[in-house]
Amino acid sequence: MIQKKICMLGASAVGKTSLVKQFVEGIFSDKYLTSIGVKIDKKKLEVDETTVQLMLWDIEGVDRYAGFNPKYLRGAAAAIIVVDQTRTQSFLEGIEICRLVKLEKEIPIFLVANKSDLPKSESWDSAADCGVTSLFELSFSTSAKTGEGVEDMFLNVAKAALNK
Amino acid sequence: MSALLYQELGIFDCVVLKHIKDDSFLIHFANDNWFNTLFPGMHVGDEIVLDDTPYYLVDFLYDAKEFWGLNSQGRINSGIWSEQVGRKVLRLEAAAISKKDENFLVLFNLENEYNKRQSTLQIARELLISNDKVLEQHEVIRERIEALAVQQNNRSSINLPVTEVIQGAEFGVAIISHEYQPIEQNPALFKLFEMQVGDGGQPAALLMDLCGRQFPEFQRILDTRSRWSGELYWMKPPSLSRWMQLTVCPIESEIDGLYWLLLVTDVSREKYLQQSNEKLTYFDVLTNLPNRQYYWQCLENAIDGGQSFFAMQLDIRQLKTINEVFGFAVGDTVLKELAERLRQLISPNDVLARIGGNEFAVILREAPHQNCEQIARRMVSDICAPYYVMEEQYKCSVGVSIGVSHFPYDSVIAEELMKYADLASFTAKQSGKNVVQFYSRELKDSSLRRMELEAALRDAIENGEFELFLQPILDLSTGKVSQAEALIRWRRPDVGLVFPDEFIPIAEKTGLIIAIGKWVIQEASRLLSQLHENGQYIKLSVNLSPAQVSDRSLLHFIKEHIETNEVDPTYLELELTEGVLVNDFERINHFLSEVRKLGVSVAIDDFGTGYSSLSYLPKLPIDFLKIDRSFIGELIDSESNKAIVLAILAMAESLKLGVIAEGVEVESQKAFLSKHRCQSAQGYLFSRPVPFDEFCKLL
Repeated sequence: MIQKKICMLGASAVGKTSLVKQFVEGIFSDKYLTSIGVKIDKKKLEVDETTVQLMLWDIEGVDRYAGFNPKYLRGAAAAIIVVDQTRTQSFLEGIEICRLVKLEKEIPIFLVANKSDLPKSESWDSAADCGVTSLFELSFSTSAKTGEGVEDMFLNVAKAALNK
Repeated sequence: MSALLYQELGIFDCVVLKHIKDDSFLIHFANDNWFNTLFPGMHVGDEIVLDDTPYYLVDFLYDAKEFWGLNSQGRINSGIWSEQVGRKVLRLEAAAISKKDENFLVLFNLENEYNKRQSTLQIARELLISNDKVLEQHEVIRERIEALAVQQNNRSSINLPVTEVIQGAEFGVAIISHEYQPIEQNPALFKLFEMQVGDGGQPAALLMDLCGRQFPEFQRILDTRSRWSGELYWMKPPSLSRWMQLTVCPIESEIDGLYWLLLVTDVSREKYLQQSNEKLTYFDVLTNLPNRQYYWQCLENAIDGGQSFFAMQLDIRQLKTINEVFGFAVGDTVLKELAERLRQLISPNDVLARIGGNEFAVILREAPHQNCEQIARRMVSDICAPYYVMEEQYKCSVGVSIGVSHFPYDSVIAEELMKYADLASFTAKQSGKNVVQFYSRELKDSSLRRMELEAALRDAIENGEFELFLQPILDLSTGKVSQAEALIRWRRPDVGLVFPDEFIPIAEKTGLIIAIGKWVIQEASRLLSQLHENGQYIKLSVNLSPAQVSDRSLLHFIKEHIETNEVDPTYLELELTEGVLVNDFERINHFLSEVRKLGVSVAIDDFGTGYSSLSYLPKLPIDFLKIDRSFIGELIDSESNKAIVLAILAMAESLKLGVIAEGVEVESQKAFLSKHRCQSAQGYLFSRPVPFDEFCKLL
């Protein structure tokens, strides 16, 4: 069976762990519990009649308390940068993380605007509409809470990881 | 035996694997409590192969093997990871260790450390996010109101759109006049202070009062029209209290002058959360330095101690630029390194604190071997030394202004010591250089004088206290007045005539230069029209400051006044300095081209003194060069000045530009210029700047 390592990156509290939990276990908790270090979860997917096991590296949020560690990218087939559409600052931090990933490794990078069940921050559109989305392979809108867009996003990431 | 005891005591809560070869290890020591969960069926003495799971550990083996290959003593760590085994989650960290030619992989169970760290980071991150959200909301409202203030065309339309924006805000918003009278206060603000709209309460006044009492620097912030953000504490006896995050922004409106915008959010929940963790209450998490609250206590303790000391306030500049260019992560790294550099310069008895986003403070004990000024200068040079960021690929730097007050010489009250250090730091910042400024009575007086001047300058526009003087420019071939430079003067009531070198720098710093500059254009157009009426067709030139050139409405303004006064635009000239030209070539080129299309001509003022990138000249739509007075002053005695002037004349001729020599004071200068075909000159030899009526007599 083919295994693909996918790194989940982003600022803190954007919903990386929740996305993985929704995708792997189909559950969601409203309570925010910050992650420390790394946790690896796996899930099998059928992509064009090929079974692929995604190794999802849920990495602690990059912020002033935890820096970006390029070693986590070793062997990764793709990176998912999660941002929180209720906080424009998380988008700017996501762009910065994208830049750091690109410096380190040539892999497809996906932008995931999470918390689509909540209203966007007022300055979101002006920040997001500045041409930076071209940095990403594809962009998705998801809600780890309702599950909207989550399966589809991971399926697309798996396809890209397989084709890499 | 002892290993078992240690294990019982939880001291050896680890697994030790000895590296045999490739991915094979010998289980050397293991804590039974969790070892079997991770490696079911394995025992001490067994061989184990790590080639698949745990995935994180297998990944770390790449680093471990590389490290062992170096044959160096020591260890490297993997960083914490969580290993899900069935329903149980282990919090682990691995270390690769080399000892006497033997290599070990040690796994630690960090359950307790993980929980402790998570509990601190949980609070810290919630605070960080909450702070981001508050600032973001404040910024959105500020931008909207600022945009509305700029867009509004007449006074009657002010309140309606602004009111609409703020009424719906979830947090408190107040707009107050420059005399601190409330213009707008939204319902959320009344609610924050437990007041009812219409019951006569004045939440904005209460806010201002709280700021004045809790922040020694607040009056200076208002006086200097600075932007500010901080946390306030409000108590309503007997039992109600709130923490509020306040942002104060000056909003300049061309029609209505200055407003203050106050944005307030209740952050009590976050504050109590913070207070539940002692480290977060007193320390800045980024730099690990004492925070403002703790610094305040230290300052009061130091005063109680009675030993003399200096209170220093360091204002770090250009951090915003670093955040914008390189991202916040790099900005944070720079702050951490900066804090470390400062830490190296003070002794253990001193206190170093981070009291604001870009502000640090130091209590420097006075001791025979410590010289405050030397230490402060060392701080300046160490802080300003480059920072190498992003794996040392890029270099960036910051600036600093340091203000210092002294206990007990300047004051024996903590609030005043902070206020005075802030004032000194602000004065240092105004100079635009990296300097150290000690507080003094004179400093306070001169600062007061400057603030008075600023206030008077604002009134001067409204009260019509400015006047344009005209200095004739002579055609050297005919000896007749061919044009004039319009120069502003301020007839200040009870003071007399104030010259521009005294008030223009202040106008530039406060942004008043835009309004003053427009008045000059308006008045010059009026005078030109009067000259036309008198049958005098003399060109008038007006000076433009760099800030004016950045004002997008300037072109329209010039056009409007040319049309209103029905003047021939070819008799209006704009003077810009060289520095303005090279700052933003594309924009300036566009602006000048549009000016030219109107028929207005362009001159380069103070030519030769600025950034002499001569390659710009042919590319820009320019008509005249004005040779700076410094070259003319010593023209006769200085061979190098002669050479420079001749070079400028030759260059201007080849570029087909007219030349005006400034500061001509003696006949010999005039003769030299005439001899070398300089077309025009101005200076005291011909006439000093004179009022309009007097100028007309010279024609």
